[in-house]
Amino acid sequence: MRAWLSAILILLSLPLVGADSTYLKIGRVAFSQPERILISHNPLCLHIKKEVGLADFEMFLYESYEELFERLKAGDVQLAWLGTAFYAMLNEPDIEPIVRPLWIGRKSYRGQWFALKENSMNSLQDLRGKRVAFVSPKSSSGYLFPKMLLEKRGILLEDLSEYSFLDKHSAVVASVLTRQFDAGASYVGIFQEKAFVENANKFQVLEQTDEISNEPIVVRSDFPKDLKEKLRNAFLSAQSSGAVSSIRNLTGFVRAISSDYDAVRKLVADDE
Amino acid sequence: MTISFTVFLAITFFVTFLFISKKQESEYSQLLIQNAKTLTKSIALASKDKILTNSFDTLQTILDESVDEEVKYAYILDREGNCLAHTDRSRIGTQFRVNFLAEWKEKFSASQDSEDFVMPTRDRGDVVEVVYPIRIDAIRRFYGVVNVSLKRDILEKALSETREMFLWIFLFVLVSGFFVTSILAMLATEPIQDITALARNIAHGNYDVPEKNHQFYEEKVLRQSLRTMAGTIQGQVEQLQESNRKLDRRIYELNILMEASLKMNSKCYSNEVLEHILDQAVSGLNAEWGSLLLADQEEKSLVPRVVRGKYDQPRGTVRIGLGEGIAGKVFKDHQPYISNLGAKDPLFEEKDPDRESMIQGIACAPIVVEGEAIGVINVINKKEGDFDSSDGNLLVSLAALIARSIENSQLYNLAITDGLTGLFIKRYFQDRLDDFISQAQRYKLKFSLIYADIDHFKKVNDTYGHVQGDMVIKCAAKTLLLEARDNIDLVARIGGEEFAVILPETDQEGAAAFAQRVRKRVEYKLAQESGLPTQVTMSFGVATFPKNGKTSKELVLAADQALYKSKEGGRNQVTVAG
Repeated sequence: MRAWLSAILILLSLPLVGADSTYLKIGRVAFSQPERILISHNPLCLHIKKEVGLADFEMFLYESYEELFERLKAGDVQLAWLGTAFYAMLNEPDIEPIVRPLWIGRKSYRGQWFALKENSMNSLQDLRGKRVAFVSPKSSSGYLFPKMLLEKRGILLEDLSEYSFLDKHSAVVASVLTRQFDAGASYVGIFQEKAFVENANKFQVLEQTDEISNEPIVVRSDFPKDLKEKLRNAFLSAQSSGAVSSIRNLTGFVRAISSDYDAVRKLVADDE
Repeated sequence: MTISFTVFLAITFFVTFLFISKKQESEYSQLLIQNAKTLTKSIALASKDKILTNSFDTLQTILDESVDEEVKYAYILDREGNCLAHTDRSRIGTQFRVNFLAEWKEKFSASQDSEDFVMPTRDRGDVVEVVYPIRIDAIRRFYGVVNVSLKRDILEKALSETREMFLWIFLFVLVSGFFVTSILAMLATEPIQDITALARNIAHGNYDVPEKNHQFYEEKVLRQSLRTMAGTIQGQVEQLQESNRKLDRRIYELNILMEASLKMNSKCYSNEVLEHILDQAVSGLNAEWGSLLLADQEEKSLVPRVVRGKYDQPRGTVRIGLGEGIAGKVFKDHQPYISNLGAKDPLFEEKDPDRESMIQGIACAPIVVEGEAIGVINVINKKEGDFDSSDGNLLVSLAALIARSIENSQLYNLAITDGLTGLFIKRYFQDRLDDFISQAQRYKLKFSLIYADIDHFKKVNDTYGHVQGDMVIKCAAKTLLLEARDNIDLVARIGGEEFAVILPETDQEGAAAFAQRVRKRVEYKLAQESGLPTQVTMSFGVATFPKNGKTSKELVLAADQALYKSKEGGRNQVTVAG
């Protein structure tokens, strides 16, 4: 019933496509300062507008994946740049990914457990009774995958003396560095971020998670197929046109399909 | 002046008030618009991220927290005209049909950067409306607008407050202006009052125009002119005063001379006349004292005859050789001499140390009769200042008067005195006797008359000749004069060897005593003085008014009868009339 109702809504809100007058909107969650995001993504939008032959292609920002998904369903946006975990949790057949970004040339990423070397922790077993920082309950690399890994090693959240969600990966690293927490979970590669590169050698990585596919850019399943292909091709050609250089660490896009996220779906399902 | 200035101040201030009020209205209006712009922009900036992230829930809160009572209304629209927030919450969600949204979409897509954007402002009478777009210039995207309309009555209120404040300032300036102008007027008139006072002083003879710090250049010029004028007037007044002084002096001199002349017209030359003239000289020259010295040709010296002023008695022992000292030189040269050096004068020769040591100034003029000096007149120590030429002139004039007096006196004396003895002649004696009787009767006085006769004079004359006889007569006369009081008793030769003496204020005894003194002196000295080998005596008859006679005739008769009795009694005796 829910899926059927969604389909009706999507059909009602479908844009007129296939002409130069087509105006498409892509939604994304504002992960940092909104204006900066819109400015950095503008070359990509112009590239797609041009490649697809649209009247306009504009990015819209939202404060949460839920809001973004609602707008997608309502047809206010036709594309949505979702989070990996959020997409997996949706388990929504009416939307499909078309591309996923390459972050620093990688189409997937990993989560990791880390601590300060001075704490002399060498494995996840050492986390028992320790204070631990996560990013958010819906963060793949910052919570879901690390938690899964922890459980694989037979350690439950209850075994920790304390854990907190700090919303941002950088906040987790900073809190460990300042010894507010004994260990933290974040995506791999964060130590190479400018803010932490000087202290990178102070950290001891305890264990990394499996590969996690990068977040998908999705459209509704009823999106016109040819336009969907044009859009996918436009994303894929963005690297060569230089349209991605303004977005930090983005090196391009690769094709994405629903099954790329099965592992995450399973993980989410276990968590629920 | 003060009122004129105050009126001028009021008009100036009123015009300024109008000008400033208009300007203030314009500035306040601009300020209101600026405030509206600032408020609108601040709401836009606060709302921007929320609009960009399509999270409109908090926009109303931002709007509510940003506006205050000055805002009539405010709202936020998305670029489609949908009302996202509004001070009137009932308008939220409604569609605003505003023309500018489409225009702005076009404008922002064409605009290169935000500097080209002019914030649209509308003054709609009761409100000032400002619209600010929410946009990203870098990507030329327009996302919505913030509209704020400020109440214009805020402006009116501010203007009203300003006008009220201005009015108070106006009143303050007016009142203080009045006082300040009054003070300034006082300051400005003060120099005029000063100069008026100076002019009044000059009019009253005070020519001192003191230096003073000048507030104004005009005051300085006025003071300088006044000083010059005062100097000129003072000079002329001094000249006039000097002329007056000279004229006064001249009149004074003339008065003195006239007084002296009047005195001089008296019938006889006497010490009284000399004293009077010397008094005039001393007072006329404002001197301490004066002296009159007459020449004693036999002793070749000048002898003080009269002294007046501080001292009034001559020193009988002082003799000044003719040609000696200042007086001697004046006498010799017939030229007046003035010296203010006193004893330090090279001509000065000390004769009377007690008095002369005090001499600081001396004016001396010769007394010349018929081309021959007979004495000098000295005036000593001017009480104020020094003797000058005018003093000398006055003294010369007085000396001339004295000379004239003496000259006249000498002529008169020649007429009334006996050539041999210098005694008064019988006619003069008789006239004076009548005078004495008249005065004695009027004032109830008494006086005595003595008749004297040289005993056996005919025998002397016959024996030794007339020359020797004349010598006896001269010596008898001299003896009488020696005993007589100067200027009091009158001695006359009333016959060949007969003499008469009138003794004023003298009774019988006094007169008899006088006669006895003469008799004895004659008895013992006359022969020797006259060079006779034999004794010469005189007989005397004494009569006293009114006891022996109330008329001249009766008195003369009584005296003559008494003399006769002395002759009858054996001569060389004194008989008092009974």
